[in-house]
Amino acid sequence: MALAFTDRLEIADLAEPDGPLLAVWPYDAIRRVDSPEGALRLACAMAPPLARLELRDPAERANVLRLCRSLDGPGSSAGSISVGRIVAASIAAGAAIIGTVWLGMPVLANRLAAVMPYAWEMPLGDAVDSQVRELFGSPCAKPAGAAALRKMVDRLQTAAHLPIPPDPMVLRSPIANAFALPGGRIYVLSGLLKISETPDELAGVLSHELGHVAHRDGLRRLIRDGGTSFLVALMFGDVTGSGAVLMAARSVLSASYSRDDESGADRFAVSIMHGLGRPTAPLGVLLERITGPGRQEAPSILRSHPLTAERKAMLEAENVPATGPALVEDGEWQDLKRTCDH
Amino acid sequence: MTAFALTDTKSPSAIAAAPVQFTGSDGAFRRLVVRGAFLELVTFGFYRFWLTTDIRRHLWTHTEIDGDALEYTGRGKELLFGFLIAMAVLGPIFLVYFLIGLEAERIKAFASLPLYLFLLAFGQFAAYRARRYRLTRTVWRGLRFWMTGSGWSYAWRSVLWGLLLVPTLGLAYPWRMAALERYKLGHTLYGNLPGRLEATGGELFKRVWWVWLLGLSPFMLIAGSLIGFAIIDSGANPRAAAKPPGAVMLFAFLLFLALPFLHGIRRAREWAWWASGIRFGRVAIMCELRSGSLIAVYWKVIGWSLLVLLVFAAIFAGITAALVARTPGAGLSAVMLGGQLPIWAVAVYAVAYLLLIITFWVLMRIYTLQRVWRRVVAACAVVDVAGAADVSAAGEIVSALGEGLADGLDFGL
Repeated sequence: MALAFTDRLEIADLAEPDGPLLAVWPYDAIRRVDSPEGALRLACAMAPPLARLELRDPAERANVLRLCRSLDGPGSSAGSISVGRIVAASIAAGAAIIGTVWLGMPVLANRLAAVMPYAWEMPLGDAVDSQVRELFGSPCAKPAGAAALRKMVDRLQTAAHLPIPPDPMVLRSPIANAFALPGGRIYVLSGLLKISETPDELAGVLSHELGHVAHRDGLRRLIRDGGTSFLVALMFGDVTGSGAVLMAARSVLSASYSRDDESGADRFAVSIMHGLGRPTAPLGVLLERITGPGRQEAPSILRSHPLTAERKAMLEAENVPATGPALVEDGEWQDLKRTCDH
Repeated sequence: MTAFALTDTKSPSAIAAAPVQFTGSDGAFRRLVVRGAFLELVTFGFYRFWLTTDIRRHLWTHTEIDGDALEYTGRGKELLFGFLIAMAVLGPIFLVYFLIGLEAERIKAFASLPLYLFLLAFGQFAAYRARRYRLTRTVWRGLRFWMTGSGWSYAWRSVLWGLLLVPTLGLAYPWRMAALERYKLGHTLYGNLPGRLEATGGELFKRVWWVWLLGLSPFMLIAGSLIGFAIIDSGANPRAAAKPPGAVMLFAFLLFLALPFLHGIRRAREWAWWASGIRFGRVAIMCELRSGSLIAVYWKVIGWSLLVLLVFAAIFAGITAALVARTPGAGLSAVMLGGQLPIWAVAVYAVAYLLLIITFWVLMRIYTLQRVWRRVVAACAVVDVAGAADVSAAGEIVSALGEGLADGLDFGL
């Protein structure tokens, strides 16, 4: 390649310097592109996009650097966006995403859940139900116990007025817990039956779970978590490993949401027990029996339920003496407690 | 510069081999990734599009084939747009995926698990399309590389071959790799010069079968000794009889130390096999990567990782000690589990954790990417490079949607 620096850069074939020019590049159209050290690689905005001229001779390079004033203009390898702008735009985008996750998602979830027909939650519950059965085995089916549980839940439903009557069942597990699925399936683990001493204690837990169903907490959490993970994925994408931080952040976020859900379910339980003329304090007693008095608890922001002591205090403050009839008879209560016995 | 020659039995004159060189410096690359990692930290990860681009520009520009360096013409903005479009595409897909999974779960518990196969295939599809983006941004001597073929066709091959790995304990791996690389290179073109892979799974198997066997052996020995212990437990004199399986287990743990060596050897042999099989028309690559040349790289990754882990363990211990000291009379567990962690402590833990991740990430980029690239490139030469002289331009650039999908699917390419 033979170069002539006239009013433009003239490029001729070295083999025949007097032959026709290979190309003529105006200085202001010449751009610098990526090249290894010791070379200057040029492109031209008016030439075919992949045409390149590579200069290694120091004198020629000096000429080009002197004559071409738009070397880093549009089409060059110099980034069209400065790092500062990328950082500023990213921080703005990150703040917007965090703000949306923190403030927008709960609102969106509440609104969406409110307009979704209640019946839509049924398939959601059905899907989880078959997994629950796979994990815990079939529900305990002692007829007398199941009937007593159904009677208790039916009584609660007369105050709860769920759009679809709740469907309770007992699963065999040493854990003292109960949970509800969207669509109104209520699961009582046999460990809870064992540790409950009076029907009012168990009824308190059940009406708390009915509260989750009535408030559609499952559906709302689903929308919230789905939206949150989509937005968070926007940020970190493939920075592998930051996943753990995100999981922790999400669990803090969604736990702090569900703390509100839990308090809401507690208030729902109080209103049901009031409606049936039954005391609320036994639920607090049961909670304390399950967690054990004075046991260390995880930092409250990481815990999905409010502190047992706070809940117990609230339930005692709301307590009323029993005015309504017992939810189940003594004999039925004994049957209920033995639902999972062989 | 080493130029070596191949003697051709048909023609009396030797066909000259042109060198392939890596001209970049380790220091420049290290500065590039360290700076990029910190920028990623402060940009919530958004800087990754530009960092990925800069890394490729560095590697391409410093890879010289027959005296002319490659050029990477992709830009960070393209990757960002590709990713944003991919998120718009993936959103509805994930929703449909979720709803189908829900229906499947209603019919039978865990019936939605096979759907993961679809996601895996989708990831492979994205990988293929991402490769197509990278190729069309790769320019050498004024011509770009490009790619035909179908991402889905590749994806199903990849998944079906992948399924075969399970029952064969990985023995099908060489043939899988050969089939997939043959598909990819068979649909790759340089200008109008079509590429192909002239290497077979059988050849790769011959190179790595003993590595595979040795790599598997510690796991098999441990399984065997566990079975041995179980049998002895039911026997009459457990203490005396436990010695042979105990010795086997000790030997197996020693063999674990050999795994990094084996991994390095396997990777080196794979690279040599693959690169030596590349053909574009009559242009061929010859790769003489020695089997031992990557072992040091993997040991360095392990050594640095251990060191980094130790340092960060000390930092975490320091923060925790400071926390305990702040609340006199309270034990460690009371500080960590009881009461509220002060917000500054949570922030410090989080930043330290992110730094740890970023450090690992820098290590991976430096060693498993740049150092491997450098060694493989330096071991290669191009035979009959004149075959690429009268090639005309062909192929159009494609969008970075594939890259975005791969990023969004998070399959860690």
